[in-house]
Amino acid sequence: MSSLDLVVFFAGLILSLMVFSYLLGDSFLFGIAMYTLVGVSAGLSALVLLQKVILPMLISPLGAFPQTSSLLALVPLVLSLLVIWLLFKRSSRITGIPLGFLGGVVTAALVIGVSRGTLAPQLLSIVNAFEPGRMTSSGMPNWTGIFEAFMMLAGVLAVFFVFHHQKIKKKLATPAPAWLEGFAGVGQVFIGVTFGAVFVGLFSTGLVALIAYIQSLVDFVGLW
Amino acid sequence: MSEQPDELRICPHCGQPNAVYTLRCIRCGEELEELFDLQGFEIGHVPGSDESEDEIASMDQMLAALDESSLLEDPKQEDPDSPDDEADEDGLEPEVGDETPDWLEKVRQRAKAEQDAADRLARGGMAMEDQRAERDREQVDQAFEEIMRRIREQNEREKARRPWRAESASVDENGDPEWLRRIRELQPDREEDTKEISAHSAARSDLEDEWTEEELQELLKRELGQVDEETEEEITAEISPLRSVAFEAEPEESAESALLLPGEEARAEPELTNFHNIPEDDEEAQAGQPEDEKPLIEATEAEQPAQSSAEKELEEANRQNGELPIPLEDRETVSTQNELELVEEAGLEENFEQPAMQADLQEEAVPRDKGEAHDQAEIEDKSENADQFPPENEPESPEEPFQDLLLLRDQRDRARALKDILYQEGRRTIAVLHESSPQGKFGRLVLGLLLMIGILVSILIGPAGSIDLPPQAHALAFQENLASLQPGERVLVVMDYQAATRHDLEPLAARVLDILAGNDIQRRVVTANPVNLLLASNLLEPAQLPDEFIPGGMLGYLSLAAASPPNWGGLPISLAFDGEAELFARIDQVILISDSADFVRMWLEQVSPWRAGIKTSAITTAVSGPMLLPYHGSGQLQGFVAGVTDAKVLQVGPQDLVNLRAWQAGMMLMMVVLLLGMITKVDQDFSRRSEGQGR
Repeated sequence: MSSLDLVVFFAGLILSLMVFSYLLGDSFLFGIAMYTLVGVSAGLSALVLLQKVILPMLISPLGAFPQTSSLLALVPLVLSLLVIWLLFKRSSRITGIPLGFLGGVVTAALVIGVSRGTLAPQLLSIVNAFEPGRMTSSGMPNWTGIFEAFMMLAGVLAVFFVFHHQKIKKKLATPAPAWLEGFAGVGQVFIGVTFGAVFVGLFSTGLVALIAYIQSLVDFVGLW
Repeated sequence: MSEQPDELRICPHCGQPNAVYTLRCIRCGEELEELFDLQGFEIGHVPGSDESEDEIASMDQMLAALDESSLLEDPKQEDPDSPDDEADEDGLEPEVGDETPDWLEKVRQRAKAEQDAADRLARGGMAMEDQRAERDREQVDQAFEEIMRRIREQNEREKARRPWRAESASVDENGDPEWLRRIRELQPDREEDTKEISAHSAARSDLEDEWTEEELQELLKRELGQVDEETEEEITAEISPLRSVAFEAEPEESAESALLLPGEEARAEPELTNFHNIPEDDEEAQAGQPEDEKPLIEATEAEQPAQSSAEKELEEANRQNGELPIPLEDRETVSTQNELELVEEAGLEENFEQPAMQADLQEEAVPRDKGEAHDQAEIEDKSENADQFPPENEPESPEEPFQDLLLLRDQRDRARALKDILYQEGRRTIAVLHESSPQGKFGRLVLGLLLMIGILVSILIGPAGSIDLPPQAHALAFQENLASLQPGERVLVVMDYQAATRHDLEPLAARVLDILAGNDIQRRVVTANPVNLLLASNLLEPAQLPDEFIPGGMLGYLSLAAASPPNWGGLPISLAFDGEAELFARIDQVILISDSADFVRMWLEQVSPWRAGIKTSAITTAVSGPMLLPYHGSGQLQGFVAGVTDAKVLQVGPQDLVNLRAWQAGMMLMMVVLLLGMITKVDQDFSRRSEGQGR
């Protein structure tokens, strides 16, 4: 084991203990570890962006000025200067151009993407679940497919009713009908099952990370 | 005479209605001679006389004429010294009878007889009227003297108390003002509790002083109940005294109500012994009680003797129990004065008075034994609420230094609010979310240590173990999709994960890359995450590190997927590539290595629609698996493997995975903790529900 590995190991050990101090509360040591993580990540990102983006895509094209690529490079350069100007004079309208452009593009991309990538395919998936070919198997009812299709439809509707019920419940003083309450309760069951699965996955991922780092500590101690 | 007070007598001269016993018309001043129409002595209707010519003699003239008439003189009063009056009289009559005709003699005899009756009648009426006027004057004078005596005594007490007030207004040795000391002595129990809390605050954590939801609910219920009980108690206790104080203001307003004073002296007398600090304005307000109160007083004055006796018995019972050091009249005085304040409030006047009076009348209508039972019940009720109202029901101290401290209800409420504010000084009034208690911190520490110890023991003892879980459908789909790749096809590998999840992803990603390399499948590795430029060294050879960093994150992928290079040149983003600028050129499949379900979803939303012919699969963590299942069900995601649980599908060697025995131990420990937490939560809910039903 080289001295560099030894230094890295002890640095990792100290940082791990600082993170473990969170078991005793949000302490100063845990804060230092978090700030260290954020600082290191930001520094690395800055270096990568400088090396991979700013220099090759913004500065280098300016060297071949008469060419089209250099002219096109002026557009991000101007927008970048406007963003930098925003740090000094926020009230200027012209500085809102790059942010407005970026916000508009992101919003449009999200709306279109959600519609095309999630909403429409998921609705079609529910409809396709009731396709006769899926609900029958060699001329016999495919009970598994039928159960899955109806459970999918019931789950979607019940979860919709949960949010609808919560929204209406805040506005109306009178209690909702019993069937609506019951259906919303079924939806809450679906949501609870989903969150339970997410929690198990989250714990499993964290547990794997914990085991891996403890294993590395044991391996390191085993070397001596 | 007073039986028909509504009768009126019309004046024959002017037509003015007059009282039936009025001697002269109140308008024209003429005498109402029809007042005493004596039978057989009708002057205006003497037979043979003419009404148009003869004037009608007035009553006094008639009486004067009768008095002056020698025929009607009383022989006993005429000459008491004469011994032979009777004889003379007897002897005179024959003489007169000898000289006067018979009809005249009959007239005189008749007149004499009726003169005696009229005289007795008039004198009797006048004597009764004089007697009644004399009695009224005596009662008015007595009431006036009583009021003046009270005012003088009260002024003397106020004067005697002013130096003491000025002296007691100073600040004590602790720096506490007089009003604060009074408040503290009014509620000694709470003060002791506060001292105890402050004394133990150093030992306790500050989190215990916070209001939890249960404490807030309990406090809210207690305060609501306290307010209700207080309102009901004061209403029941303060209705009847309203009459007495209202009655005190009556004599100054009308002489008619002053007639009631002698009967109320015994009731009003104890108030003279009471000190109070009611401002003079309040007393003036009491004196200026509105006229609307009068029917209230007159309607209930008949029941006051019984009420007084019941109150005396209640006071005796209180003294025996030692619960109420303040006399009942004192409390009633305070309550009554409070009532006057309430009466002055316009909003409460109609809503409070009439139901209260009805309830009071109903209470006083019950027999005396029931009234005693009611009083006893009221005492018990006050005893039960003694903890809520300690200053009212408990002896404050042997000396009772503030025996004279009687507060109006408004003043008491404000003092209580001020005390609550002082009591909650420095405390948090709104519950803070997600802030754990010391017990929570301790439990978290114990749980963490248990988990670490279990993992450590599992690593040190025995082999790593293996997981024999049934393969998931999405994992099988991923494996089938990977196996469907033919040699020579191109796969785009997109990396986007953090260092914390590398142990969950990299064994799977490394196995996939090995399979691709073994099947002679071309791969292209890109990333938009700067961290993955370093982490990729764990998967790839140094020569295979991703040299294509996509700027802009998902927007960069979107631009590369949606845009096409123009004929006159390339896109600015093409400068990020050293080699082929088109990212999706000749790509057959895309494998996403990501620990974020959002990244996979964004890819399916933003990039895949533009490249519909490219199949997409993912290597992700266990936490992202449930979120990606719908996309696998819809066919947008060909398949995915999630964490070490799907490692068996890819035939990942145990040596490349984490210690699965430790993983099983950790999962089992967490399952036990979750079950215990569920049982505890159910038990808490059941206990809370039981308490709620009990209340």
